[in-house]
Amino acid sequence: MINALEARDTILSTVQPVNTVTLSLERSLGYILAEEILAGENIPPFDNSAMDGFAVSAQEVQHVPQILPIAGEIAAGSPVNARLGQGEAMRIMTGAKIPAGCDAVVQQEWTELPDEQHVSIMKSVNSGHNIRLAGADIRKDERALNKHQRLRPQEIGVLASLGKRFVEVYRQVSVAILSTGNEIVDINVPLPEGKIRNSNAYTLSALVKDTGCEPLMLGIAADDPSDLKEKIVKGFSADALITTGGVSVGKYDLVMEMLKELGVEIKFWKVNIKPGMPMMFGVHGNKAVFGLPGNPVSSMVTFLQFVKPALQRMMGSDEAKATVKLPAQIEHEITKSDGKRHFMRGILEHRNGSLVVRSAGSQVSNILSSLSKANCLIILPEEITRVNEGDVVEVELL
Amino acid sequence: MISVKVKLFAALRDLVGNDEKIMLLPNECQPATLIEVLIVEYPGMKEWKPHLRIAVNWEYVPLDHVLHDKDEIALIPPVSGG
Repeated sequence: MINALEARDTILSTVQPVNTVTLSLERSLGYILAEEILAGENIPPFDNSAMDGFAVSAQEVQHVPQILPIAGEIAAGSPVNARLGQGEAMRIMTGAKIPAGCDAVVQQEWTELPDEQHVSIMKSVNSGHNIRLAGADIRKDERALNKHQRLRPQEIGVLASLGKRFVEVYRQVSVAILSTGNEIVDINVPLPEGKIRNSNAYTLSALVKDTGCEPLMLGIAADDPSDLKEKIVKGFSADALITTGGVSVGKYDLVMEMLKELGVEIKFWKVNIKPGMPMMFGVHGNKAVFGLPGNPVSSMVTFLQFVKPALQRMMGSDEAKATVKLPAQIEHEITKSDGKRHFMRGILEHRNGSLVVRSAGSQVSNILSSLSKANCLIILPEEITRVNEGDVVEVELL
Repeated sequence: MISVKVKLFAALRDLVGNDEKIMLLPNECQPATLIEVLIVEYPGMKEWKPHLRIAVNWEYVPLDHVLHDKDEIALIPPVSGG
């Protein structure tokens, strides 16, 4: 049985980014950039004023108060290439182009107006005061954005500053979700005795959306080979297929056998973790196939640990490498002896300047409500057998 | 249930944010239904509906054509120009 880190490496070295599509800037939020963006121009494109005030030569206002004639006015957006004469000041607005001969802007609050033609500078300033230099934000020919970067609102702003109307991004990844088992019924029918509702497909669908992919709900396959076969084949039309099975080994075998029969190459089955041990990863051509356990907690934990990084890689993102883990002090002792990597549902709090974490209650893998109470997973590596109260553990936020 | 691949061009590609989309639809489904399903997800599709031409497996078809599993459906917006 392979360890969690090996399983993750196997997945990440197997799946590949999908192809790319050109979208208009307004539609590209949340997509992953498939091109490197070099700045074609300086941002800002010219030296400009950071304040409303008066453009001056700094060395002429070293002795204050200094009365200077007002030689003109430069409004923001004005294309005028003004020149400041010796011993003069010009009224200038925030964002307006700095005139030649000026090396500082004295903000209006530091000035007085003895009459309409003159300004009295009340405080001396150094060269460069209130001047935003051309290219100070992004310099021409500099790399403004990296390939594989997610386009958040701030990246949309950078692209707009650079005049990019269209961007090349990785297309959206589609993920088919199939629940299996005779005991499962969908949420739109009354619950017959002995049956349970199909919660996993909805949790997984939400997780898929949360990752930035498109879920395709295949519904429920009963323990009937022809039904299972038909739905799995439909699932191959998506970029990835997730099955979530019943708890019993026998039933899981049915899914496994059908996947094999349909040509899925199994890369691994069973990972040395708790919860989520009976997890499968395979490929069908260039499609990724994940067999997740049927227990709701196991299903969600294995999605977060293995499926999400795979989807991020398929989406063209480099985020899979950068899962944030936080150190926190555990509030109670924990012992384990099975040599597995444990993912415990935890409640993380900030208390007296440090992060503290405690178990969110029952760690049994069918208790979904404890995941709802939890805000993190406490990670206990394979070799750990005991943590004492006050020890530092790693947690991943949920 | 059938699984079809919808190819999207020009403004529709931008509207959906993808150049193709896998869709799961009921059996005996027609392109008119497919477009209604898309409108639910992408309301901007509504204004295109009267103008779309539909091709199934690279042949133009009417709105009441019956779709089959694995069909490739192209939604083609009108080409502008003089």
